[in-house]
Amino acid sequence: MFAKVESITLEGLKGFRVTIETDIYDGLPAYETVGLPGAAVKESKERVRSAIKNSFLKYPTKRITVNLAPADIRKEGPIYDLPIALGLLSASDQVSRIPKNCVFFGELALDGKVRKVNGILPMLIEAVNFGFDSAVIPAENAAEVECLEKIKIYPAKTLLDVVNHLNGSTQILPIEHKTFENINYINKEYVDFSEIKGQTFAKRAMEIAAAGGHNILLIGPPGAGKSMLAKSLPGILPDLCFEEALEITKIHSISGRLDEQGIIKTRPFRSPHHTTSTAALAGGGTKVSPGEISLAHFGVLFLDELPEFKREALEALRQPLEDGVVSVARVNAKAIYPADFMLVAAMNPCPCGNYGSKVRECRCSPRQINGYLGRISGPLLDRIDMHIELSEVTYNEISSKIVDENSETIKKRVNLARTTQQRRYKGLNAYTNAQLSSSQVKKFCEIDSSGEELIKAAFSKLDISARSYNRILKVARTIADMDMQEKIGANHIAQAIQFRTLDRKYWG
Amino acid sequence: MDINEHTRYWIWLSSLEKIGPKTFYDIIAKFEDAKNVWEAVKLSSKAFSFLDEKKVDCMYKFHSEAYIDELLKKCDKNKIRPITRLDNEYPSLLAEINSPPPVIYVKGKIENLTHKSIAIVGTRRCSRKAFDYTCEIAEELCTSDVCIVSGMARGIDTASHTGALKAGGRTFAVLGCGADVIYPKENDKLYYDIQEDGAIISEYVPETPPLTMNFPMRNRIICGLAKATVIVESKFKGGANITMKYATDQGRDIMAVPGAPYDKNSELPNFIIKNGGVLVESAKDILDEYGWGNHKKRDKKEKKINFQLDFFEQRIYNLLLQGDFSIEEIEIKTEIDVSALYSSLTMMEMKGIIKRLPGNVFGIS
Repeated sequence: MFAKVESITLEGLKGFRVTIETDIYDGLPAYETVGLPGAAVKESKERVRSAIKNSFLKYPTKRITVNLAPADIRKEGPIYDLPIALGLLSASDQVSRIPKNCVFFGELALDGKVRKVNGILPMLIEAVNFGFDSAVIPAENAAEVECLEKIKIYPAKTLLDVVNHLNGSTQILPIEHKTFENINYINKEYVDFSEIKGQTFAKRAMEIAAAGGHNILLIGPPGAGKSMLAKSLPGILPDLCFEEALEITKIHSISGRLDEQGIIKTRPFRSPHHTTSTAALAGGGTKVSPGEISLAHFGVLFLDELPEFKREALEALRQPLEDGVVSVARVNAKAIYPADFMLVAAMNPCPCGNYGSKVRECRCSPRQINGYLGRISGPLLDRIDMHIELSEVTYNEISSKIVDENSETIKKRVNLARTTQQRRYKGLNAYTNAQLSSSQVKKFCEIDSSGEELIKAAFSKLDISARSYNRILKVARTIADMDMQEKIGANHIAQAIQFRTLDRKYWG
Repeated sequence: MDINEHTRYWIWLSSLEKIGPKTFYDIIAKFEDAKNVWEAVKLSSKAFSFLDEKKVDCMYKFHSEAYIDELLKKCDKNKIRPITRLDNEYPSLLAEINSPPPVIYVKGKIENLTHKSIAIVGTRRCSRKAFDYTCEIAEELCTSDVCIVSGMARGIDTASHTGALKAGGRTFAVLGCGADVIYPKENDKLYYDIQEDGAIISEYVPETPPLTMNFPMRNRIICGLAKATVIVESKFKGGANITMKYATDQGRDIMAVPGAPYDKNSELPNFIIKNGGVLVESAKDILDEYGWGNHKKRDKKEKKINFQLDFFEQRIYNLLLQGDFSIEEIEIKTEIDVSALYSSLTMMEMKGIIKRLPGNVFGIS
């Protein structure tokens, strides 16, 4: 007897149809899985057998061959437990009919329960593209696919439920479609800007960075509030639209990081520790999976203690910072993951952390300070538009009762500036100032005559290097956008120069 | 290098690690001459019963002509001249102190050192103002033909050498390591510039690394080479304090630049003034003390008239006249709107009125 069940596999975010064929025939009882199965797929036979047995169904004691077609794509993970079990049951006539236009996913527990699996959202999106009109998924995965249209989704709790559903005895109710706007999302992580006392300079810099999508480097002594500022950044970035949210959720779904809220409605904030390996940061591993930079897609990647990161790990950021995607290739797999993030990096000014501090003494020699800064390569620094210094917060500032602006107010201004940019760059591959190429800078960053004079003077008087030129213009463009000015004026450039501390000579 | 026998053994004895200046003079007092010591070592160790064992061992261990040859070769190679206490070139002010170094190793022109010399010392972690001020004083002293002695350390020491060199004056650096070792490393330009008209001086043999224990000892040479020691900024404890104590022992004058009582770095200078040290406000105070007179006031470049300030800039300027402030402090104190403030700061910086310092701090340049 023969049965066919449909499912999907992923390579990166791209899906492939997988047909699970099951054949049962006479002979000595045996079980064979073919079609390039990974370890978890091979092990599925044990789970399938127990699950069938414990669901009061009959496990066929015959010769069984399971084939996962096409046979040239590697299949990983436990998602095929449910389709394999259904194939077996169908081939042994215990399930009357398996619909052709339905895809099945699910890991089985030994008692017959259907367990949560990773990557349901991207797989269902791909299933819709392939023309499937219904899907059976683990009930625990239901939250993440609530917004999907054009497909009927049946959440399954146990194997028996699915069998009864297919045999028509008890129907599983499809999940109710919710519109994106109707989903309540509780946001746990962010720090509100009003909670950060003092640091008005840094806050202003963060606002500009958010408005123009600029990467930013924070330099300051320990305890100046670098991490806090970084954590508050997602809160002032523009709200996500449905497509963005879906993309973020897809990546988090693949790596199994979704909580019970399902779809992610806020910008992610990722802060990997500085001991992180290159693969964990950029993506990869033996079983290719998205790295921190992809998990930070459309959100913020915060690298604290930047000079402590491994050099290769940092260099791996260069291409994604430029392209917004990372392509990971391994021996048995390759994948392209989106990685369009805002980089916020933080570092101490010197090994002891107190260089420039008014309160504590720095014990580092100029050589040490130079060496410390030298750990960040020029090309990486070139991709960071803004670098600012923070000074430590005084007691008066911390205890101050003055209520600072909250994130919501700042976000409104940021949204306004972003809208201006989107209007200007319509039809181009850029949508923020930070993404402008050098030819686009020339076209869109028009400076008035007084600004022209100023930037000329700045180069000779302040020892600003030539490669800073474009960066300063981009930041000045953002400041001008926030001022609603068509042309960049002298004061915009003057301000932008304040956010380029590493151009200064006292850093050696 | 032609060196007579007498000098040769004198250098040998002084170079031994375990034998400090005091022991050196004790031994010389007994044997009258270094040559006799050398011979005595050859004969028996009984003659040194008044010394402890380690010292005697040390004398035996390095009792070889080859050792002396090598030492002298090292000097030659690095263009270092060993000058003994017996040489005419030995600085006479230094010769007056208690147990002066038996030998000093000199790189440069020690003959340019006169009695008209002032030592300037202070903390390695000085304020920017103290640095500039020290520079200025040293510069003015040099224009009046005064030699500046210091220790080439970071901070005040660097400032005094720098100031002296700016005036094209003679300045002398006493190191706590071999005269061929540049320490701290970042002062290498200074190290060579000093040798042009002044000298690098050390009582340690060439190639001695900068050991912590050497530094207090070299301080006695710094004040020993000078008529008076000026202390600019220092906490109560520290190298400057040691220098002050040596200077007192040597009967040399001590002067200090007063500081604000709430500043830790004023502790030592203010202590000195309280106890009768000479208060130094300008180079004139020092020059007048010794009648070194004909003080020519340097015509300070008047920079104030060169620029015009707008309303905001004037407010920032007035604030910064009180001291250095961080950008946040400036914002709060001047109550200027951020965008206007940041651009004003850049403008003023470009006009050269203010200076941006590490830690997002601004000060008048």
